[in-house]
Parts: sequence; structure tokens; C-alpha cells
Amino acid sequence: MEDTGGGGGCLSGTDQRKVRSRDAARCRRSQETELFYELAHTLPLPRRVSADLDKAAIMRVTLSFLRMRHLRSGDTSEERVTDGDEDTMDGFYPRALAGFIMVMTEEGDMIYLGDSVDKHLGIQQLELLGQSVYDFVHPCDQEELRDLLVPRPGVFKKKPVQQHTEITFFLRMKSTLTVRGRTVNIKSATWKVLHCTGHMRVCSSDEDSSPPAGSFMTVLCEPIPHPSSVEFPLDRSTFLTRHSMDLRFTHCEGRVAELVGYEPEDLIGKSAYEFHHALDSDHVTKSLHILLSKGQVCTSQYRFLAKSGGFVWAETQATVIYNNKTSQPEAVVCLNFILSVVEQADVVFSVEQTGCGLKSDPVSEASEETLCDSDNSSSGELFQQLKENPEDLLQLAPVSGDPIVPLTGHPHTLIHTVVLYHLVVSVSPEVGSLIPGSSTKRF
Amino acid sequence: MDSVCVLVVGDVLVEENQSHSVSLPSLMTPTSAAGMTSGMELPRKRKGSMDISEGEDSQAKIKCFREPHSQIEKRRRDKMNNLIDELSAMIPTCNPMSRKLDKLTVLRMAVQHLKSLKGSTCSFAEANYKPSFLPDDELKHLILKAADGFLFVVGCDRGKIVFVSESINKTLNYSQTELIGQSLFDYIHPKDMGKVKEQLSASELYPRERLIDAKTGLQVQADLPVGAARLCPGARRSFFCRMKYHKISVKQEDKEFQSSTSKKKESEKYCTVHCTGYIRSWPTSQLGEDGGEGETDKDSSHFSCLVAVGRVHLHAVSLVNGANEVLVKATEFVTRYAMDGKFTFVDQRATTVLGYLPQELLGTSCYEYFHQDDLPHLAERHRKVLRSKEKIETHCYKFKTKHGSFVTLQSRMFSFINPWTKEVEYIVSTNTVISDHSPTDRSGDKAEPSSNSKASEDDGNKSLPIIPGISSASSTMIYAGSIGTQIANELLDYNRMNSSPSSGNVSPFTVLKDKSPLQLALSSSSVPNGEVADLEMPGKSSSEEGEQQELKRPQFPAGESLMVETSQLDMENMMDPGLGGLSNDEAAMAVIMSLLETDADLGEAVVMDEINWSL
Repeated sequence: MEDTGGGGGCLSGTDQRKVRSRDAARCRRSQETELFYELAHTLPLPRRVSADLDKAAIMRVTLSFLRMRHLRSGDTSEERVTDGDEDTMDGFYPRALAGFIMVMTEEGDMIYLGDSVDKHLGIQQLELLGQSVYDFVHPCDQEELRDLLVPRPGVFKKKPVQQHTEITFFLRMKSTLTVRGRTVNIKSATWKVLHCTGHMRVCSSDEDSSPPAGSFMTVLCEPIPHPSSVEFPLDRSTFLTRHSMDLRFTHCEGRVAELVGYEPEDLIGKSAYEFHHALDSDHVTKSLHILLSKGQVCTSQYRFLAKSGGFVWAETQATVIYNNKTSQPEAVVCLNFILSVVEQADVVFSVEQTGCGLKSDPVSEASEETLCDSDNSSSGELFQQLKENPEDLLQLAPVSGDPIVPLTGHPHTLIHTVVLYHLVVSVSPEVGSLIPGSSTKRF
Repeated sequence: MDSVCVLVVGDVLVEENQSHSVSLPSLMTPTSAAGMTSGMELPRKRKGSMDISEGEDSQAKIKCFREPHSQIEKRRRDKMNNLIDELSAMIPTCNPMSRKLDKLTVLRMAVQHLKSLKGSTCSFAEANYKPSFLPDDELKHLILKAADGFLFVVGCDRGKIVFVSESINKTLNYSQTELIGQSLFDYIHPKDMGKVKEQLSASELYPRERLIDAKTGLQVQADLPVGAARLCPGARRSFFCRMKYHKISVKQEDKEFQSSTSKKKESEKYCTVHCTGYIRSWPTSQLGEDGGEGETDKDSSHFSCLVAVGRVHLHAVSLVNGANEVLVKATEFVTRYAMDGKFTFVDQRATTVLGYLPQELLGTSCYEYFHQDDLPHLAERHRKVLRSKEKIETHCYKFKTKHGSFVTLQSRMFSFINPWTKEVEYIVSTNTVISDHSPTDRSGDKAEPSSNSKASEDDGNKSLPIIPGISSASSTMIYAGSIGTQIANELLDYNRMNSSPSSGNVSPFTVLKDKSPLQLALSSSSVPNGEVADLEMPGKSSSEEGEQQELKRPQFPAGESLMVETSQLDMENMMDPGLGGLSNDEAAMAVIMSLLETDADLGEAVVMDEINWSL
């Protein structure tokens, strides 16, 4: 278009007009560009960073900056006493956290992200600022997030009118970091499970300040450490267990003995479901479903029954491990943090604790057999069949809309998931409708 | 224009290209249709796809991509215009003007606005200001908003608190000055001290970071030696510990009344704090400045500290109140049953309600304690709960306490299905005590706990010498228990027969629901086998030839109604001795009768059970 310009000479009226309008447009564009860069420079960013931003990015960051300011200005109700000591220490917060802070608007725009986000997701802060969070969230988690950001009136019985509403949820977000620490292109990004805890708050608009009121979600997003790369040293009140996919213990660290009283042999073959207090059933069940649908979970405190009575408080971070060749879910590895000593040690809660165990209970004995001895077929024939046709396992995932997505980023893994994905869609039509276009989006 | 020539020249090539390019737009369009792709990403994608074709034939590409490209451009412009609109809404000077401003004006005003902001905020102007999107103190507020926490810095050598942020006031109720300079260990639960010491010193820590191998997914036996490396600056930490919680309200109130007792109480309050952070080392000289204690660390030029954020966990409240829960809600308790109705978990609150210690109930069947009038209903609910994912509520029913009286309960049950195997793991039941006398009477509720406490007292005196309820209930109870076993068997049998992969988990349940009246008849008829002569044969056959049950069923329907009647009648005969025995005389007679009758058959019944299980 512009390559024809420059030639002088005598031009007709229309041509002259063309030239003039072209010049005007060019002038306007250059003015615009100049303004954009001026705007970029006024942003509180290092110069070399702001110089690299393109126009869209400048707009995104500027808007995010202004929105954050607006959000903060609505905050004046809280008293802020800062002395000098406090100031110098404030800088330590982001690094001390095992995650990053994210602020989202109702629409899902990420108006703030801690700069440590690249350490956790491999994507730079400025690349994400102002973007829609939905572009980076697993298709199956989008609905959940949307419901949290914009609570539908029908979903909750009582409207969350409170200014601060506590939220905790698990979100899969794109990550260009692999388990082994490499960085890959955003297109081949894998999903990372983030444990998000925070608050939803409504920002009331003052009379004089113009921006419209809206609600914002401030969350701390903490990745759940993958057992193959736990950064921090584990102390003596932590033990590691490994389970088959039905959550029977297959391996247990000996440390469990001093913490909960069991010898590893006591646990192996038993179902992990038998070992929590019934009052925590709801929570444990919920965590389990998240684990199987998203691949990772960390529980909040629950009561783990001790060997001869009583319980300990525990928190568990669980991760589904996928077979490297078939990329099928293969095992669950749990990091169990024991938070207390045995409480109410004199109270017996479960059959396990009575010592006679389940020997008198033929039901569980039967299923135990099938587990330890995979060729032994009895009541668990269904289980056997599933084992042989692993595709069916996916179908049985608790929340059928959520495919299990491998956390490791091997290319063949991804391809394999596509196949499985289609399989799921074809098997249950209602699943397909839940996740439109999700496969195309990812790959 | 040029593309036509190329098309003619490189016929084969273009064809190839077209087939190639067909797939690309098809990949592109869904994303564009989603309309959520960002301005940043799209151009990049476009560029990438161009590169592919450029190498082969740049002309064909233009032809193929003109359409999506213009769309992309339009979307980009639209997006930019939207952003401009949003921006103008955010800038105060733009807002009063009613008319829509043009792009350049908005941008100009934005620059002005930002500059004015910069001027007003002093932190921007500071010389040592490191430009960042959000000032540190604002970030801190965000963090504190997202998660109730506090920052602390603790010396690694002695656990001295070098710094603690003010927000500890909100979480643990200490004032900042109260803690700085103190030893962290004074505020840690005694049992957690070792753990925290480990985290600070890191010398004894096991090298277990690589718990499993990323490639094989197998456990790795880590054997690399650890030394001082663990203390190197930047090493991450994450651990839980219990910290003392300072209860302000208690302190203020009790100062006047009972200061001695309150102190005792306070010392017992702990809450679980999740600490995440890293090891940092300061040059000693710098430390002397703000800590004022340089002389303590003269020997080492660097002072290692743990910089961490402590976050109080949400469920901490339940941890603190764990013990109280029992007292507050004594009219409710939770139990877990195996599929066959045997207790596998009993909440200790059950003791106050029922008089039994958990270990007395565990392993026995819940049917042993039900009043015989409620058995059909509860068996039906039991069956239902095994086949439903919903929570099932029972009617009020009578549960026999340890002292022989009955307490009225109502239960909400659900079966926990292992999400992986789809097998029922257990049934969770929340049982509520319903006041016997009159549901509307409030005083009735009050009377309940008092009787409960009495019950528990009695329990302490009586129960200990007697060994679990099984022995006292003796032979007759086995029959009651077998109701549950039968129900569980039904489900297992059914699953076994319908274990073909095509059958989902829904269909068997719906089918079974239809059949359930019949099955009730069958199962209950098999319970009292060998007791009443009329029923002996059918009962036996159904349980012995478990798998043929299905085959035999067609023979039954004709006499179905009869079956139900007789079997229930029969069940009453049988149950009375065990359950109602202490309540009326007739039943007492029946106890003796049935004991005489059943003794002979006891051995047989046990054998029958075994036969069932081997199937």
C-alpha cells in the first residue's frame, strides 16, 4: 500500500487527495505511536522493559495499572501504619511465598500478577497482565472459575453479600515449565495445578471517582509441588505414601511408624479411605474428586486415624503419577504432613484400630485379594476389566467433564491425550457438550 | 495477481500447498471463533503459520490467508478500540465529557493522568526506587488480603525472632514489639520444636527432595550427602508447625476474675501455621544496624536467617475446638458401615448416646441393635443407599442402647463409592437423636443430654469388665447381622453378573430398584433359615445357590405377596428374642424358645455364611 507513495510529479485531484489523506493518516499513526511509547514510559516499569512492549501490551498494562490503583484507593478504610522497619521488610513477602498473587476482575481480566509468576508458570508477568485469565485456564476449569467470579444467583441459596468472601479452589493453568525445569513454547504448554486461596471483594465506587464498581478476586496461587521436584527439605513429621489409583497403599515410608503408629506393612493393601475420621468424609471425598479430575490436590486439615486409637491431624498433598509410556494414570503419590501428635489416643474409632482389623469382614477381604494379587479374580472382576482396558478408566473419572491431563510435557503424551479425549467425548455425549472446542484450543 | 502465474507454473506444488493450507485454517478458525485469543497471541500465530508456507510458496499463502487475516486485523482493531474505551472510563478527565473521545485524545489524557499520579506518589520519585508494577507495601497488603499471614525473620542459629510483621497481630494476636528479640521456640508447640530446629539448621534433614523419578515415576532412594549446601542462601522451606495463639478476649476479661486459670488456658491454645520461605544470609555489619546486636554474631561474617510467611490455616479453628465438639453436639454422631452394615467407624459421641464404647460396636452389624419393627424399613434404606449416590434419610427408628432401652434415631446415609473402582467402600451415616417424648417439646431435648451423661457414667462403671456386645448377644444376633450380609451380597452378586463393560453404573441400579421388593422377600426369607419349617426350603436354596438366585427368581413371583408376608412375620418371630426381649413378656418367652430352637441350627447358619462368601 505504502510502497507506491513518494513519487512526486503532477497528480490529478483525486490522487492529490489520496496523498493528502495518506499523509494525514501517517501523521496520525506516528503521533499515536509516539503517544503509546510516552504512555509506556509513564508506567512504573524499568525503561528497558517498557520499551519492548507492543501497543496492545501497553494498553493492557496501563489498564491493569489503573484498575489496581482504583482497587487500592477503595481500600483506604483499613488503617495503614508503616514504620521504616516494616517498609524494608515488605520486599521479602513475594519471595517468601510459595506462589504468586493474582488479582482478577469479574470479567476474568488479570489486573495483577506477582512477578514471581514466571518462576511458577514460566510466563512473564507483563505477558499476562491485563489478559483474560480464561486464555490460560484449562477449559474444564473455566466454568468453575466463572461461577466464582460471577456467582450466578441460582447457584447459591444465600447471596454472598459480604464484602470479603473466602475462597479456595484448584485451577489448572498453562505452564511452560516442565517438571524437569525446562521451558517450552506457550503452544506446547502443559497444565499446572494451582491451589488458589483468597478473597472476593466488592469495590464500591465513590461518588467522585469515575470507574464503575466491580468485584475483584485476590488469590494466592500456590503450585502443588510435584513429588519428583520438591524444592524444600521434608522434616521428620512428613511421610510419603504411594497408592494405586483406587487409593490402596502400595508403598509407605517407615517414618509413618513414629508418627501414626502403623508399620508400613499394616497399611499396604489397605484402602486409604478407611483411615480418616468420618467427620472429615465430605472434605476428603471432595479433595479426592479434585485429585482425580485435575491431577493434583492438597487437602486442608483432616483427622488421620492412628494405629491403636485416636487420630492425628494431617494435611496431604497428592499427585497422580502417569505412566511414562502409556501416559495412563498409574499411581497416586501423597506427601503427608502430620501436624499433631496422636489426640484422644484412648478412643477407638474404627475397626482397623481394634486390632482384629478386617479379618472378620469378608467384603473388604475379598477386594483386598484382588488388589494384591492382580490375577486373582473374584468380586473385583469389574476392576480387572478396567485394568485391562485403561481407556475405560478415564470414563470413570468422577467428574466426567474433566479429563485427566498429564502434568509432564512429553510430546507423545499430549497426542495420546487427544485420542483419549475424543474417546471420552464419543462415549458420553453430555461430556462433549461441557467442553466445547477444548481440544482444539489446547493443541 | 501474481498468484495466478504461480498457480499455473507450479501445479503440483500448489496442490500440495492447498491441501496443507486447508488444515491450517481449520486449526485457526476455532480459536478465532472462540474470540478469546489475545492481541498478543494472534499475530504470533499468524506469523508462525506464514513461515511454514513461506518457504514453499509465498503466493498461495496470501490467497489462502487473506480472509482470516482481515478478520484477524478487524478483531485486533476492535479489541484495541475496546481497550481505548475502557481506558477512557478509567481516566477521570475523560469521563465528564459525554461524547466519545477519539483515540489520540484518550491516549494523551492517559499520559497526563499517569504523570500526575507519578507526581503525587512520593515513592515514584525516590532515588532508590526500583520501578515495579506495584509498590512493595501494596503487594504486602494484597498478600495479607489473600491469605491471613505474617512475615517473620528468624535467625538460624538460635531461633531468635529478628523481625515479625505487624500482621501477626491479626493472626496470632501478638503485638510486633512483644515478639521481636524473643526466641521463636518460646512460641512453638513443644512437640514441634525438633521439627522447626531441623528446618532452621537443616543439618539432620534427609535428602529426600527427589522423591520419585520424573521419568519412571518410581521411588528414588536418594543417597546424595547433604552438608552445608542446605543452608545456602535461597534454599526453600515449607513446613507446618503449631504456634501459640494469644487470646486477647480471654486475657482482658479474665484479668480481673481469674487470672491464674486464664494463664493456664492460654498456654494450651495453639494453631497450625504453614510456613513457607527461604534461607537468606545478611552480612553481620548490616544486621548490627537494624537489629542492634552485632556483638552476638561477631564470629561469622554472615548471619543466616529464615525469611518466611506464616499462614494460619483455615481449619485451625476445628483443631482448637476438636475436643469441644463432642460436648456441644451430643445429639448427633457419625458412623461408618461396611457394605453389609457392620460398624467400621464409630464417632466417640456415640458413647454418650448409645452407651456403647466404639470398640463394642465395631465389627458388629448395626442390625443387631435395631428394633424389629424398624428392620424392614432400614433394610430397604440400606439397599437403597447402596445403589444411590444421593444422601438417603431414614425415618425415625429405635436403636437399642447398652442398657437395653431404645433411643430414637434418624440417620442420613450415603454410600461412598471408590471413584476409581466404582465399588462401594463404605456407608457414612450421620445419626441424630430424636426426642422420644414429643417432638415439639423443647424440654425433651434438654432431657436428652442429661440422660446421656448418665448413660456414659454408667458406662464407665459397667462396660469395662464386660467384653464387647457380641458375646452377650450370642447366637441370635448372628441372624440379625446376616440381613446386612444378604443385602451386601445382593449387590455383589449383581455386580458380578453385570460386570460386562457395557453396563454403566446407572442401569443396574434402576433395574434393581424395580426388583427390590422381591429381593427383600428373598433376603429376609433366607435370614431365619431353619427356624420355621414352611420357609426352610426356599430360604436355604436362595442362600446356598446364590448364583442361581437369579434363575430361580422367575419361580417366585406367583407367590410373591405371600412371601413378603410370611417372611416378615417370620422375622418378627425371630427378632423378638434378641431385641424386644427385655421390653415385654411375650418376647421374653420367645427368647427362650428361639434360643432352644436355634442352638441346633447355629453351626449350620455359620456354614451358610461361608458358602455365600466363597461365591
